[in-house]
Amino acid sequence: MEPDSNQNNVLDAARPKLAQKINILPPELAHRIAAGEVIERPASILKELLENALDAGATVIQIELVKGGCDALRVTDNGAGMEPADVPLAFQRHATSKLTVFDDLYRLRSFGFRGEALPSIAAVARVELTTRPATALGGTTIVAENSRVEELREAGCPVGTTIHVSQIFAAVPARRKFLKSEATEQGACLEAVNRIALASPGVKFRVLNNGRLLWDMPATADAGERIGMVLGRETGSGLLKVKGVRGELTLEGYISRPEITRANAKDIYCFVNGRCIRDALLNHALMTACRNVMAAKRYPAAVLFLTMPSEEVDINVHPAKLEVRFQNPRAIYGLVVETILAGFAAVAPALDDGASPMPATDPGDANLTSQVYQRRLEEAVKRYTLLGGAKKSSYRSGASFSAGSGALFSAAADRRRGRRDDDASAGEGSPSFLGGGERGNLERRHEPGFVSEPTVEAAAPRDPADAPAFPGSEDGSPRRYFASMTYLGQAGGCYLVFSHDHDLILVDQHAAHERILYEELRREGREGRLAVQPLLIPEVATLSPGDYGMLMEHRDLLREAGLEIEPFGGHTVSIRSLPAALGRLAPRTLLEESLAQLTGPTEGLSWGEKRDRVLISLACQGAVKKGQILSEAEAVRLGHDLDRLPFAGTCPHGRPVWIVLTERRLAGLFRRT
Amino acid sequence: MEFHIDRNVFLEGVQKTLGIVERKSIVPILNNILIRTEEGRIKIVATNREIGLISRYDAQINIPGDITISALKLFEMIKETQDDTLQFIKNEQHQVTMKSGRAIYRISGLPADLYPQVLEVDEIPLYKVSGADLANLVRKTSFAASTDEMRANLTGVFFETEASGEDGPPRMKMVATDGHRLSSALGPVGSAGGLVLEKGIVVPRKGMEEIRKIAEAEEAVWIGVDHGMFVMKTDNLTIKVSLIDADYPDYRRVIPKNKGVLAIFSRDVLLHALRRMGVVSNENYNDVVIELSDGRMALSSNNPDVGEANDEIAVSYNGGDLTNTYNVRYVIEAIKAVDEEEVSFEINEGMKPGVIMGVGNDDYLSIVMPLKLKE
Repeated sequence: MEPDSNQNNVLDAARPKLAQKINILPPELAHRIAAGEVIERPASILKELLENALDAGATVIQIELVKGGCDALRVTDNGAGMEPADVPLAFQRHATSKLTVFDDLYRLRSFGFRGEALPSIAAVARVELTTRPATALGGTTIVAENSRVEELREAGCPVGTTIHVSQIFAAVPARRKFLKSEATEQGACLEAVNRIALASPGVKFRVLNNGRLLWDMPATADAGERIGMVLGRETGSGLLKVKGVRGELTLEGYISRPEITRANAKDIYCFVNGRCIRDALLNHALMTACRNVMAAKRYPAAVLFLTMPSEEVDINVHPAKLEVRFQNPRAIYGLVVETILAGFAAVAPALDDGASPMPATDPGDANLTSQVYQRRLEEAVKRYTLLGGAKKSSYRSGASFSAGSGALFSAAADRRRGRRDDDASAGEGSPSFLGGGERGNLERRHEPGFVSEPTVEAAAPRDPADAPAFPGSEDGSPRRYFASMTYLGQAGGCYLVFSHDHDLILVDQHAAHERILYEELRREGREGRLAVQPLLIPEVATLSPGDYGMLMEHRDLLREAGLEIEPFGGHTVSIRSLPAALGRLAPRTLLEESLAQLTGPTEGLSWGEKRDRVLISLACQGAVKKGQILSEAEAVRLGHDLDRLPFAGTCPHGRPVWIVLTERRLAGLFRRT
Repeated sequence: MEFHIDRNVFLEGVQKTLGIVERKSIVPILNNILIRTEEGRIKIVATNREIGLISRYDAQINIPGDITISALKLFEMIKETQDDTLQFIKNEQHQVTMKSGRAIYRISGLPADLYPQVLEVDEIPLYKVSGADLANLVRKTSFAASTDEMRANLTGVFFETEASGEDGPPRMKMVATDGHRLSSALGPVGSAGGLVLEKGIVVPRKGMEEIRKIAEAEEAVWIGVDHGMFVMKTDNLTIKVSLIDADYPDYRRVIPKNKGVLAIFSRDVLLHALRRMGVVSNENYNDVVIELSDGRMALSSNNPDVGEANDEIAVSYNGGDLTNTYNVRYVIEAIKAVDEEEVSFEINEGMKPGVIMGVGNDDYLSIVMPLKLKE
């Protein structure tokens, strides 16, 4: 059967010419479709409504938010509308115009299909729906609240559908409590619009908040132009168009030129058959392609559209349809990597004669690269298969995820949890070189894989208890541990080698400097003498709506760390000052990295913990990097600075700063007895 | 390949390449310079892909040929020779033998065809300017450029031409800033030698420094812009620097208009006092508190890690008492660029920038943002 004809069938079903479009799903089908919590915040309501609007063939969609969507939101479209006869069915569970038999599920091309959206929304809010199909003279209004239809009447209205959702979570105070600030929720709503807008350049979007126009995106035929509207003009103009075909798979999209990078993966948007998803495999493939092209720990901005026969992908693994399962992950991985590498290859000459002193990719590297690629592919596929099993079962077991907010990235959460357990055991086994206050820090941030090895005797020279309160204070003179060492040299562009009596001490220069800067920033903050360098020319940065909301929420916190930010209209901010100790760094990068620390699971973190996160990130950026050649004076200076710290055993991320190879250990290594 | 060359000429020629070729590049050939024989002279080419240098020196050519060889090693070798003339021989295996009297060096080179090409510049309009003027402008500005590669546009020196008065002959102007301070210097009237830049260009700081080193020693040089390169020629040498392709911020906007408290100092007295503060101040941001009161300026620096420093200078200033904190390194660098004996330091309140100029010279000014110590 041709996938295309199926698509038409499904889409045809949505067209207004059929009188009876809505069918009740057979009960066994209803069971087979895993039900889940669809609505967790206003943005999820918005997402469902927008998908409905697009399924109805709308070309103009207006979104009005009240208080960032926390109070109410309204979506108006000019799509097909509903026949009066269908309207009452709209709020029944599993009522859908898009699916009649289970097998259809595997050929889905429309966004919604479970028939869950409207009933779920009506379960947590008051929904007023006004609709008119082009074929009817008058429209219908239906009001539902607490899952009950309260009112049904005729109404005069234009063709299309308007859905007004108010009293959001009024009946679910617990959920309402979990809503974040207006700015954050608004950011999440705008992010939902982003995802939809990226995939539908032909649809005009208007977004208003509290009556003020936030965003007006005209329809455009060019996906690239729409990306520019969404991700900002700077990014939009630095995008490479990529396209690759492999059998029935097609990958099309845009990726930022290698010199345009992001601090996190937030600006990576992947669409599978038009649906925005987050998929570990796709991200992995993308990062494989960007390896060696982009700086370490930097991410591209990318918008990728993967098209494949509907049968080859299962989109029904996640209640919010954020994740999918591919039948043939290998082919997809290969397609993504090859397509993007080909895209980068096309710009390579331009890079080469630019200011970048980096040598052009050596063709002799090709073999090596393909080996790396093969290895990464196997690793990704393996992880994908393993993870997939666990993920599936956890979703199918349903109830445990009703809490919602955790369910979105439950796989990631599982992984974190697993890691945490590892760490706990590692923590127990590791020698007690941690000062009391740092222990929690270490356990939380411990990298997996760092288990103190028996060959290494990580040691602080003294008991934390007799540490001076902080360096230079009159009581207790600073330690003279490093001061009494002989500096031997730098190994691997990263490790400073010292000798002390008969021991050999290796210091990780980045970790050491990171710890020093972190303590300095913290100390200055505590003593209220943080030096701030205002900027002569304030740096202007355009952020995504989500980042902007988060930034505004944490403005005070960043100011405390020396980063002063002022709104500059739209989602643009101007950076007015930097912590003076890091003044030579690029303000925008500092801001991005700090923001990246505040995204992700920050719930439950206290203000101080969040501030520490930002300080750690600042220290990390300010610290000397691996590969930086240090002079002897600099290396010795680093040792002296370490001596002055109350605690220097690990860097703020929990990695050890130095390790000691004792004489006995060395003798053992050389088999001297 | 074989030639004889005057030792001092060769030494100077190789020395000029040291700032350009890389020292520890992982691509060995980028540590090298190219030497090629021409009619009665040798050509030395050096590049790091951002800066290209082509220079020519008289030599007695016996057998033509070419080779690339480590610039640093070659320089060190020549430096330790004593005879007036050097003999330079390359064999088929790209091995170089250099003889000075009875001293013989042997060193391996790499074939010349592997070396990145540096094209000769011909047929672009070049304008004759004073080498001293050009070097001076670089000296007075380039120190303020950013060293952070993330802000590409600020890592360069902005170079533009400015009409002197109404339709006067254009003069050269350079500006550099790292976002915390800014220096701007204007050449004498007519100094652009007829060059008119419609829109300024951004020349990387390192390239500008090389240009300064060469221009300093020349009475006149010829400059021009070609294919995204800033080009400077002397009688025997051409240097080309790839421009930074980025917009320069509108620096005019940040030059403060309203006057703060203007204090006049002897350049050297102030420099010494500031340097004394620099000894103890925090080495990251070098904070120094400057306080104007009772006809004197009090300087103080306090660093919990090191100690304290205090100093006072008698000074005349207009306006009321004032205190502000600066990064002393920025202030020192700005004052060092002043040629006059007296410096004017205009101190503003709060977060407004301070302005440093030479007394009686409006062509140079340096702006420094104060530091803010959080309370």
